[in-house]
Amino acid sequence: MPTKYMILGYGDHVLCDDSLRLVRHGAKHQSLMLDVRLNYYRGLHLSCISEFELRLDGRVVPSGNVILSLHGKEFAIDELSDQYTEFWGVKDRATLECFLGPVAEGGHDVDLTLRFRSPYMKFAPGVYATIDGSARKTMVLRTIEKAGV
Amino acid sequence: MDRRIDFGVSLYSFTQPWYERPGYGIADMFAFLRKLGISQYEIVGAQSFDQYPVPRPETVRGLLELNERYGMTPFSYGGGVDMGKITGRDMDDEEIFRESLNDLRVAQRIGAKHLRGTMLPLDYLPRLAEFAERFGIRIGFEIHAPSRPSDAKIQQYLEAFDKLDSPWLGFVPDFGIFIERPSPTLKENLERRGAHRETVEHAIANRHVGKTEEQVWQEVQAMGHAGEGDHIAVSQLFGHQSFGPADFDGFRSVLRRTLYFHGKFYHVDENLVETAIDYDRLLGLVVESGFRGTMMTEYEGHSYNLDDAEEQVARHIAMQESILSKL
Repeated sequence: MPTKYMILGYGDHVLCDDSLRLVRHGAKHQSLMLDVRLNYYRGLHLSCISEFELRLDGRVVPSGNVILSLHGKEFAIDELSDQYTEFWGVKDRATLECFLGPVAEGGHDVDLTLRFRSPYMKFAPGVYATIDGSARKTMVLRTIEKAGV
Repeated sequence: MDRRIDFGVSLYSFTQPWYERPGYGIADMFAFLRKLGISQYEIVGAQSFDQYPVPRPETVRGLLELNERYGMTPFSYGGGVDMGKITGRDMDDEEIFRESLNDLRVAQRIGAKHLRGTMLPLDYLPRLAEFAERFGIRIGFEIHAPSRPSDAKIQQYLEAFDKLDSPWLGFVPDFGIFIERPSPTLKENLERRGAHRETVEHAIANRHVGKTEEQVWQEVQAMGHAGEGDHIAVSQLFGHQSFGPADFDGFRSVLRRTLYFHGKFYHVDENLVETAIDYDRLLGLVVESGFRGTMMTEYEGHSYNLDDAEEQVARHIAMQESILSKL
């Protein structure tokens, strides 16, 4: 059996540096945003994402509170498995938007589990290579104020 | 110098800078290749396009402009069907056939004369050949690791190609199928990822003595090396970084139905030797067969996170020239 999870060497680029930001829309509403890339040699359709979990300072961000946007379109995490026409290019950044309570400025432990199937590396019916594109790093949060909601 | 064989370079060779260097693009690759005297290339859609399997019109226009500006010719299009992209089911053969026609259309739009396509069942070959001819694009099925040319499946395709006797279908043997020993850069990479040297050497020494991956992993742990890096090393040396005796006889058999070659390699040293793959022997067999066509350089150093594609591609071309000049 081939390697269980293939991991390429671009892990450091998955969580894009300087991209962690808290966007305030007025006094009450805010969202935490973060840009991510694939750790693979090629792009993939969003449907190929098989595991997704984001932890902030050790706590899981419920996937229902996360939106992934790509090329101006927005997807709930639970919808990703159906998106076989939405292609995430290997040089492209997707943005995660998380709806959370207050988050302090400064350094945060960001831990993303992102695994996907390689849709052409088929080992048996329904069985494809799994690529591990997970990453973890300490990122510094900055705050952006936006007018309106 | 045997001028029946010419050279091209797959843009896949530049995966590392393509992924990592901000602002680095196809224009940089073309500028470098022209300096090397290379004008033919292969482009891999799923890597180079930001929309796939159908690239945006402006992407195609941009590529055609770059071809013009740098005097580059797209030799082959690396298409390939993502038969597992629909969650919960595999594409059936008819869907794969339809997607293959799409790949032919993309190859035509970018001006490529070859498509490295997805293998379809034997009974599809006449239809595929018919469409290939209609588009004027030859379709090659890649023989890629872990397949070997002598495998029953490859030999069945060989027989079918012979029977069909169409110039429009054939093989693209990837030299990665002939890795006889791990590249020094693989060993260094495994150590960088935390494997003990003893683990790497033990896994290599025990790769082909009838033991399973699990047995070797148990042995390595008993040696006191139970870290994740050690596990990755054993797993890779038994998995997708595998190696073994090269199937030269099988290679000889498929040459008559070969359209072009993927000159896969991992490291050419300063003496112009690829220690993992016996290029002398392989190119010797290619020339002996009377083959006329193209060696498509395909560097895969990004697997070891090495950002040395330009140096390595230049050495690979120089190595091939040197070998062919002696034949």
